[in-house]
Amino acid sequence: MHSGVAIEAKGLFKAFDGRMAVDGIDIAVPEGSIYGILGPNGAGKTTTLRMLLGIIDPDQGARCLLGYRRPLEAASLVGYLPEERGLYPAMSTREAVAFMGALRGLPRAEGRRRAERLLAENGLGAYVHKPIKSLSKGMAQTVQLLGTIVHDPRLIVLDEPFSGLDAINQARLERLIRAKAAEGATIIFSTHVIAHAERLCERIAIIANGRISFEGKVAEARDRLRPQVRLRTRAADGPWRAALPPGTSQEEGVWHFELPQAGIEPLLKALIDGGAGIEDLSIERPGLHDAFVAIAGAQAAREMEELDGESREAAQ
Amino acid sequence: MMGFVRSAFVIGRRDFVATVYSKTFFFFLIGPLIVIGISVLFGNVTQNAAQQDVRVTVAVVAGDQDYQEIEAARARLNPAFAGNDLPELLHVEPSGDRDAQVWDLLRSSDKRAVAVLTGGMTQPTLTGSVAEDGNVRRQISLILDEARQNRLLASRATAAAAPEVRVIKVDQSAGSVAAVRAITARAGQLLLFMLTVLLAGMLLSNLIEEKSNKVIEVLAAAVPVDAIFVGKIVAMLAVSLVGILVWGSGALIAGAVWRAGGPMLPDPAVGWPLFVLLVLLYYVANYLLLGALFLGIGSQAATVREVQTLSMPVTVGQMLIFVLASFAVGPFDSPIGIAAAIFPFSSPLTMIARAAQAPELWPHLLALAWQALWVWMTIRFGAALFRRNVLKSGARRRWFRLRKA
Repeated sequence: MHSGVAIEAKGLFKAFDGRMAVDGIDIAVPEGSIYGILGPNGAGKTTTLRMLLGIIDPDQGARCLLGYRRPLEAASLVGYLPEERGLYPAMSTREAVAFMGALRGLPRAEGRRRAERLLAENGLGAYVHKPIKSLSKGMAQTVQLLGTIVHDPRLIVLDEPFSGLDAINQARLERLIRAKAAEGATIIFSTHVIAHAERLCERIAIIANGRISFEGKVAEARDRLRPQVRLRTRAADGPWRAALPPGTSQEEGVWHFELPQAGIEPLLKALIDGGAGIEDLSIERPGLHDAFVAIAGAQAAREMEELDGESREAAQ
Repeated sequence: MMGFVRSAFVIGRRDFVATVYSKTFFFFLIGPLIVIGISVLFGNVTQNAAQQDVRVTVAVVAGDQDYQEIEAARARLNPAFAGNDLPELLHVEPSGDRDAQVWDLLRSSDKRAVAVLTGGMTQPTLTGSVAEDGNVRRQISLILDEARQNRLLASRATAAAAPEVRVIKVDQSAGSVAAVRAITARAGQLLLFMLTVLLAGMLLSNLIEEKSNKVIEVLAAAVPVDAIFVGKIVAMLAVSLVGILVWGSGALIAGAVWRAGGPMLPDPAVGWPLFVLLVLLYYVANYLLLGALFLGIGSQAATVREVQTLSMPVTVGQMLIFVLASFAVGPFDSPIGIAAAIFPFSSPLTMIARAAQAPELWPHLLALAWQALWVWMTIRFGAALFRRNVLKSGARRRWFRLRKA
């Protein structure tokens, strides 16, 4: 049917009321992978996901979902957790999960059976017949997540799945994502929390201002940056300073610079020979955060950190 | 296609269950039943009361002889006014002071006379709360005229028996049948109109729930918007049919218990069984047509307040359609009758009137197919509008692509 690609999109454009929301996005998600879409709010993550799922049509461009050119035809193979969670408040948790399964082709009786099992497994066994409106926000979110996966979809799309969850539920969700991936499902999720993407994803796309500024493996994003060297010396000045690479900065007596292409040894030799007196030296592999700053810009990174703080407060 | 039907069914089942298994649905069912009960109860009481209220009594101050002749004239004329009786007459022997006697009669509460007739046949005078050109004066004049002529004929001793009018009975004359069947036509239209006004308005607010609790995103990601619309409309149709079933049974039971079988309607041209079936089919068509329109209009509204604001113009629109359709009662083959049958939103109301008045069946098959087509087109249009304006989808380009293909 297709060669190991769960989602493929080329040249997606979408404008709302004349404002460009998605400005030419290409994306290819390999089957069976965990794929993260990173970016600050308003970057176009949700619009991209909605176009990929066929909720809205792009102004331009083509997408292919599990081999279907019309994404809704693949509905029974897809699970989707929207950014704005929504359930019928009067429905019982079991009916809500079964209803979401039924929407995607799962017979209702089977949906109810699976719903009872899933709810029990996730600590909601006592709430099987309780209406959604009697649940806390976090519980309702768990119910919606269970409804998203009740029909065993081959592709699971989660829009900001971690926002609004406390640390325990975030960890539980990470386990669930890993388990589903291990069963062979493809998982694509959007987030503005770099740490989640870093822990979970094999590949990521970084979106800023409606464009993809990086697409590839997390390791590749990191490898865009050279490892960072921190160096503290006893001597403040000397001939050894000529050996420091260009672009070196000094902060409170600590030198910061990228690891030179030639490696650390020629530099060490120059430092020792020059009598710099090495007090402290560390070579750090850059995290995804540093890579994100380098790729999307410091401004975008600051916005995301603020958002992360807010959502953590919201969850508490 | 099967997927579409299944999706619409899942959406519709949810809506139906959520509506019918709610406490408010009890009030929905009970409301019209109360109206039926009250109207039956009061119908019996008020019918009798009304007859008493309407009866007009005129006191006649006259000698025995005069009164006998006037009363005889009234008795002869009255049967021709069936259901709208001539004034009752009350005989009062003249006493001394005529004016005082008249005033006494008018004031006396047990006699209940609206007027007093004095002066016999020669100088009749009506005193009382009657208008110069009112019915009482005209009817009393008629009675007196009749009495005077009878007296005249009697005096000449040529009194002849009134001529017997011979009746040659024909089953039905075209004129009488058309006139009478128009009553059934209007009754059918009114029934359809009332039911639709009461029940289709619910569809205006039908998508507000999904929009306000954000479920719409879950639905739209899994199911085509067209299927959401179809599911919702059919679910509400089913809800309305449950209501009609309950109310209809209620009305039948009430009719049987109180033996108040309302005014019998003239037989419709297609016969009763077929007419009832057509009423049902055209109700469904009318509900689906207007429901699709209302759902499409209502889906554009973001809040309950907006829906409430919209409901008045929508009701006015329905009344205009009703007026258009009622033009087609009688001259259903006139240009306006044909136009009302072709215009999709007045078509069911127009065609039910036709069923009462004309026996051919093929126009109904044609009309039902035509209406079904418009139901589908209205749903498609409403869904496209919803996708474009609410989901902000690139529908414009889709239309373009459709045309190119």
